[in-house]
Amino acid sequence: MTAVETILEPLVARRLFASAEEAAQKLVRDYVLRQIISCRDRIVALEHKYGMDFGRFTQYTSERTALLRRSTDLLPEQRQSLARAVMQEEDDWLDWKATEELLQSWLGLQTEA
Amino acid sequence: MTSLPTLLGLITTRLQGSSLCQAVSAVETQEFSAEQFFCKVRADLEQELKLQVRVYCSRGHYDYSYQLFRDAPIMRWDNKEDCASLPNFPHHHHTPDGSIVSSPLSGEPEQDLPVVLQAIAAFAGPTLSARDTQE
Repeated sequence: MTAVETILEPLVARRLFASAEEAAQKLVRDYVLRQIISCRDRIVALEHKYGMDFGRFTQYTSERTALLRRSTDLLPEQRQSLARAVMQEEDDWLDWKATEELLQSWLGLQTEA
Repeated sequence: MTSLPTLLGLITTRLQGSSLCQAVSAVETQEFSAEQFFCKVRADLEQELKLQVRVYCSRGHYDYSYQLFRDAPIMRWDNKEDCASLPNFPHHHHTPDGSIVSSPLSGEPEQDLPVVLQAIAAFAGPTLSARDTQE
């Protein structure tokens, strides 16, 4: 019995899976699926927060940065308020970008697993 | 190419070695492969300041941000490709007064973290600044 078969044996013995091979395959698929769900949940939360998808949000954050850079006539408090919002948006943008790309990677792996 | 454990170790060690940082923790890591990963590290500083470091690596390309905040962002360094007219694009710095200016960072945490920590020390006050400069 291989090391992997030994690990999976308790599950096979209880007839949760027909074989170690089936157990390994289903557990791998389940792991990948959980990563996909985690990424999707995060993306949905960001879409809900900003009311747009990632492509539009990328454009929006660029427009907000450009607005901040040319808003030299704002009062100091107004400028700081806008600057803080832009920083928070850029922080969310990086989180969103990473999650979108990781989702695509997990989806690609799902077709292999 | 740097792996996630190496990068995480480098960031936390560098932060823990600074007199500015009281506590350092890896808030989040995500890894798809040795070439695609994400980490978020947060450091508690004096005066209720916090520094958050995010790095996303994807097949040799690094996106990063260093953000100083209390209840709201105060200043930030990142390489989001928005300010093409600035020298050293895409690296830029969001200053406490709301400006976006050129940044001396390079995207290499080992070189960038000392620059960020020194700027934070200067922002936080002369006492902290003097201590961090002595390191």
